[in-house]
Amino acid sequence: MKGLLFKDLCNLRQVAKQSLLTLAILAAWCFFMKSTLLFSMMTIVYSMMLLFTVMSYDETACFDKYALTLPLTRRDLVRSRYLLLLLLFLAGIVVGIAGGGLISLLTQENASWQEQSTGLWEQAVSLLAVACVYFLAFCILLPITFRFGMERARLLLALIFVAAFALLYGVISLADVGDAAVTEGMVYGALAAGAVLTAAGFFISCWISVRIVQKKEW
Amino acid sequence: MEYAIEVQGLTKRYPGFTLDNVSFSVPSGSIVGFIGENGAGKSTTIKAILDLIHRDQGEIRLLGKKDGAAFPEIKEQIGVVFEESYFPDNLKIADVNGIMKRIFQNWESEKFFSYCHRFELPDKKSVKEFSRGMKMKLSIAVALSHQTRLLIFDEATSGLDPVVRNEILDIFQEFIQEEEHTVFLSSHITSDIERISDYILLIHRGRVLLFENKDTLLYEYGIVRCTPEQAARLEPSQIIGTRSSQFETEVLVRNAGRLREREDLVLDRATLEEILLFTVKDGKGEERE
Repeated sequence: MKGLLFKDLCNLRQVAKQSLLTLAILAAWCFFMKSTLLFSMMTIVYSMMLLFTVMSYDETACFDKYALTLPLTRRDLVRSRYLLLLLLFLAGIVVGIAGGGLISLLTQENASWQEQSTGLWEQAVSLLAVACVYFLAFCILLPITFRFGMERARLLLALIFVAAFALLYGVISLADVGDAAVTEGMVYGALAAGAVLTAAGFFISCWISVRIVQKKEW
Repeated sequence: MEYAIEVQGLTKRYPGFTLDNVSFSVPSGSIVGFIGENGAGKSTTIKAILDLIHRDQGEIRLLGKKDGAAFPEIKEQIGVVFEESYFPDNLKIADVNGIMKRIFQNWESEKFFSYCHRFELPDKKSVKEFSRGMKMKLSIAVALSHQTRLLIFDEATSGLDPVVRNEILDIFQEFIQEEEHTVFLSSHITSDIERISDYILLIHRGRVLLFENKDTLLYEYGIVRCTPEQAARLEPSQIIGTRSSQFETEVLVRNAGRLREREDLVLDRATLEEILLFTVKDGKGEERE
């Protein structure tokens, strides 16, 4: 599996320059818009999207067929994809929070340190919640990609992202309409539930993908 | 005798095509040429051997292990080259080495680079800049660089120019010098197969028509050139296929030795291509092992 990950990193090297350029443009835009959350969210989504870039390279080359003639199992093929998704997700979070924090610090020069740190904490919580929803969206999409290939999955990708956005928007609107008092306990409870749901979604998705790939023929 | 590949009763059904009860055994230390026209079932057989497709019936043993392709420790000893190179376009030779040394426990970087050097593969260029011949050579370099015991080639020499094909065939012959090394080579370029193979496996419409030692095959089969009347008087059980033109009738016969004394007939040696063409055309071959 280390070999597969190394191959993915070699593939990603191809888009490294354009990724850095994209992030720089995004950072500049968010700096002038004073929207750190947008930068962080976009970074995470962009980072996870790189998984599809890697999968596209492999699909174009039919690499999976060849990989199965190497000392690898079908399970290894699936697991390496999920491991890469996890790594990209974590990398996206780290870069997103760090970059967002930096933009926030630069754009709130007059705010006190305490105000800045409270703002950062709130943004981190919001960001994690949104990131988990998008991570789940990828977990839904991966088995579909294994089953139908990248081209058809791309069409569904947009659909799933719109659905994820609608879900988030719906939850926020409901909270506003209900005028419910959101306590700190509720936030932590929702975060914990979200984390459990995301982890469960990740493992269930991986399990389904393994089943799909084990039945697949090349 | 030890066998590198044993296939027994392999059956795979698709709409419009069935790989039907295919059985053969590839002796260790030999080169087996797997021939047949396009769509005969060569690639399907190889995919089943490599566990890339699920068979409906039958048993496959690789290097003595049942369903060997399902086990990484068996695949460590197998090198596979397909008709196309399946490396992502942006990889370079050093990347391929980096990937393979993390996949194969027995990966030999020095050997790999030495093959790349011998094949004159450019180390600064990425795969997308390679010619088709270079891509195949890269795949072959990988296939040979992990203490390989069994090489499986699926139409890997198709579409290559004669010079490159010749180079590749030379490498097979070097590889086979080791007693336990085996090559299973599928191709429809019969001249290549005839040049290097020890055994010939012929498949037609999903069924094995013959599996025979090449020398025996070329000795036993012959082309009789005669008149239609003479052809009609030949022993029917000897006749594999017939081809007529306005000048003569050609008959592919087995047990050609029995006709060598006949002064009224012209008996020529049959090439593998002729055996393939006559057999496939009339479909009279029998399953033999």
